[in-house]
Amino acid sequence: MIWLKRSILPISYEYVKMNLEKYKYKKIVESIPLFSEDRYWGKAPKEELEKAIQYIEEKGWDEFKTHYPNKFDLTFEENRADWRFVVPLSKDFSVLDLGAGMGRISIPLARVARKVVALDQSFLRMKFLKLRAEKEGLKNVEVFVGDIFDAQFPKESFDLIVMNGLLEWIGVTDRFSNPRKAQLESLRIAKGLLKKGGCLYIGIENRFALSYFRGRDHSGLYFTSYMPRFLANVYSKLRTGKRYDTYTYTRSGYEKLIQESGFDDISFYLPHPGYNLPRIMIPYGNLNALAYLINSLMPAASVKRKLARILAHSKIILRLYRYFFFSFGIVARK
Amino acid sequence: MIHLLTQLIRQHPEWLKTSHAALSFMKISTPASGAELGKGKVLLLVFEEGEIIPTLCVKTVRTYFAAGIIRRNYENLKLLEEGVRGSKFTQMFAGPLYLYDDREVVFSVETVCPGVRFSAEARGIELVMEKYIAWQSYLAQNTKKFQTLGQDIQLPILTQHGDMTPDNVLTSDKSIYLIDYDCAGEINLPGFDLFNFLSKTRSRPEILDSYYKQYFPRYFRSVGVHVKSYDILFPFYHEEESNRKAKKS
Repeated sequence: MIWLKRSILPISYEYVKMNLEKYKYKKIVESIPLFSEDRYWGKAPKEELEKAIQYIEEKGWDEFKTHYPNKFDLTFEENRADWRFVVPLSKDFSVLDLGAGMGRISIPLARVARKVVALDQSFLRMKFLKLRAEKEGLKNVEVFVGDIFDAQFPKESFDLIVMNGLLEWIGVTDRFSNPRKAQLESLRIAKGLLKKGGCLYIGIENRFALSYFRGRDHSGLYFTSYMPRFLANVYSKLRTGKRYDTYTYTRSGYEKLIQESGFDDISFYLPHPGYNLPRIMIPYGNLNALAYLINSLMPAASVKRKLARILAHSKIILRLYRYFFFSFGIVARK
Repeated sequence: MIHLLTQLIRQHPEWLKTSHAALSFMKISTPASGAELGKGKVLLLVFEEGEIIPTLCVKTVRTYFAAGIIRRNYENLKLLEEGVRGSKFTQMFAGPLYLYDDREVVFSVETVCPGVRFSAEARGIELVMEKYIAWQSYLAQNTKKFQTLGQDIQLPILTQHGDMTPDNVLTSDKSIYLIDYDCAGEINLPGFDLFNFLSKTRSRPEILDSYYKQYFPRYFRSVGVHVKSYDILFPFYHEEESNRKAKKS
């Protein structure tokens, strides 16, 4: 019998060994299996998150919620996985949340699915998520550390795989010569892990999102997503010394990429205000739905809104608006 | 739930304009919906291919423990519908079609009100007042029940929408539509909707006062009530509003 550091229950050697064999972990730390070494990422320094976790352990979850209401990229809102309403999801589903972070998707899904497996490169974030699930009484969340290339989950074991805000970062790896190849391979792996009829959901920015005129894109630089790849690469190397590897695409670019990975049933949605907070999911192919939203459901109090209502009568304008929309919600069925 | 919904719609082709039309779904919710666990509804608007407005409005919640919101909304809508059945006022509300509840998933299916969101212009307010007062007048003609407020104010018991904020009113050229039935029928205090609606139009105080002076006497005349001054009812409206706020929180 061994005691895992800080875990409450003793875990038998046989249990650990059995799971190691099943999933081919490299090691287990504090009862969290690691497929690869910990790589911390996040808006806050690692030490701050360590302190927050200690705070939960010492003072409890309720105190933490009051003391840390808007720290880190954490949210207690339950609407971050609202895209699920346009995806077939049942109580008996097994879900894999890739790049799970601090659980903004995993937690709401765990309330409605049989099991949620969360994978992230950061040990600390997975430790937080595990703790959060326990504190919220969710016993169906399993956490793992690693990336999609290292992870060894059984083939065809998930009904739904989620890549929300992940695919654009997949190219940040030295395993592949080209970021697109890395993205393609990750999608192929995801397809292999899906059961037949299962769905992959991707939430991601549009390469030509109008909002990039106002701010930096994933590379940390201005306008790189608008540039041809080779130019963005040269520019990025000149400015940062690193290649340009955070590829995003237009709708047709994503369609091509996802098709190449083997999916052929793909639907697109326009999440408003963005894929991280999908209050509205507009079916991409239905311009009437977009026009109805602007004309009938949005308030027309401001001059901007009134103008939008007038412009929404033109199909050409609607198509242009859609082309430059901020982000996409993509559902690919195996 | 979308697979359950699709199956259900295919079993009820009479709900659609074209029985085998290709369908697409638009999910919407308000900014406050989902801010906390169990709070708020999620709507799915069902579009038939080629149609410019959705055919069906489906309401659900994020977790089953909040199922009461959907059941209540649906029952309230049925209550509103019963009150106007056979009259021209049925078109002021959605039509209740189905309540699905398998103890894990709950959702209601309604027809869609075809208007656009209310815009606070004088013309729009006059239209809403005209149609709303006509509905209340119809209800007043068909009720024999009365309530006593304070010591001597006798008022008919009149079903109120209960949450008639400008956001819950849609308009078209000549019609109005009331949506969101979470509170419908829970309040029977005549004039409460009127107060709720006008006070939330974000009008300047002097404009709001002119609306009160214009519409309250007209409303009470049409429901057969003679009150010396509608001002004496305001404390009751305020009390009702604060009770509801307390209930929500």
